[in-house]
Amino acid sequence: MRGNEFLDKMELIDPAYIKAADAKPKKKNVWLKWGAMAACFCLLLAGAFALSDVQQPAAPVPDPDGTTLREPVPEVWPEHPILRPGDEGYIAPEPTPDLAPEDPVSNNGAFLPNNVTELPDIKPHISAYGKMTAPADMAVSNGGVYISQPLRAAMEHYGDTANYHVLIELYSDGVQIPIDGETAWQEMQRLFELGYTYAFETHKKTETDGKPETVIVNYYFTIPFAELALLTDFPASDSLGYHLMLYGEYFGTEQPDTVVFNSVSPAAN
Amino acid sequence: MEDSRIVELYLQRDETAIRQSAEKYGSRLRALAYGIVNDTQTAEECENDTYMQAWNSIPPHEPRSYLYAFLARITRHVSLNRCRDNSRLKRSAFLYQLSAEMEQCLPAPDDAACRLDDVALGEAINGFLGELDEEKRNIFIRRYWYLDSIADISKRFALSESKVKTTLLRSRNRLREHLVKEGYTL
Repeated sequence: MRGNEFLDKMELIDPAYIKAADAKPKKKNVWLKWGAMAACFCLLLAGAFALSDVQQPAAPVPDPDGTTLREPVPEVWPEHPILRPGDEGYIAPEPTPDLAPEDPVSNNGAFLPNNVTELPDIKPHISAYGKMTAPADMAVSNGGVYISQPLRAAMEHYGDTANYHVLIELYSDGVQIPIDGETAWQEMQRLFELGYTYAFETHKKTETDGKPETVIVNYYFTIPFAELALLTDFPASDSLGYHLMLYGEYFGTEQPDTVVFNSVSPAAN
Repeated sequence: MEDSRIVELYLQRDETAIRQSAEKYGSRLRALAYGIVNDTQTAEECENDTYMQAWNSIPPHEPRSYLYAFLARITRHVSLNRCRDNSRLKRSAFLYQLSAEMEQCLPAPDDAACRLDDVALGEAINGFLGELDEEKRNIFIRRYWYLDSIADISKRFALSESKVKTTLLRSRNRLREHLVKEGYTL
């Protein structure tokens, strides 16, 4: 039997399941979760204002990933290719401000504790960038590299002043392949030999859902610290397709119970 | 009108059964057909073919408690065949993608040594679906029964497209493992 015939055999599915799948899904109570998070954030802000010295001008409030946004995050991402210096429409990133050594604010605007005057020169680490859009249904063909819109927007915004935390989905002949399979393993080794630091993540989550407890194990292929050039010049294999996206773009606020992070870096060997 | 009453009309060979079916389920059947053939006129033709085939199959079938699923199954079958027969619809890439995904579920494609009859295969597939949680099961059925696009499934369940694709990939792997464990070779 081939896939075409098996697709027809889906007619054998129980009518009760067919009917259930046609019902409107239960709405996830995201408002309760976001409402609670907003309330906590307001309390934190109120506490920060109460403790701060209102005579001094406020330091820029850094984003959780250590950067400070230079412009508001747009609600809808415009379609745009990756632009490089010299391309029509290319906008160079703003230069980092040159701060005096005694200024307590340094490292691209990060707020420092009183007993620290400077931080090592480390790049901001981008793992999320605004809302995720839903691109058209696609399967990446062999040799192709599809970069998600949020990742493209982050790359255009920060350029080579940041590192990017990237999650990769792999495709073979247009169909997604499992990360714990032989093909994916070989691809990770190939990229390692080309100088990429990659991570193989194992996420474990216990689910009950009214049934006996089940441990769900999922595997992910990530590049924790990708410089811009590693993404724009990604060395795609002819036999695989690649979907690159930001780590936070995929996971959002989902939290597994256990994460095992195995990072393999050429510099460590 | 209740499904059981509409089925009674079919059994009595009362042609108002067709009108009642169309009034109650016509828009959903057309939407299902359109999702497959992607052409309004063809979707309407598939809907009409559905009523004709339902008229010819009730009796002996009496889908009193599952009339929509019964009609929708006919619509799906008719629409898929129209896609395959009519290259003008330009749905070959869509069907190729779905068939390629389904092939991942098969333990040993093209192995003709042991072929299951539909009863055994149906039991196997439904046994697998019964082991999934509700959301994963519905996502699987929306993709491989209703033939929804990844984007439509993503919007329906408020999930990212990547999450949907990964969920489907894992479900396909589990179906293959289930078929292997149960000793099926297809």
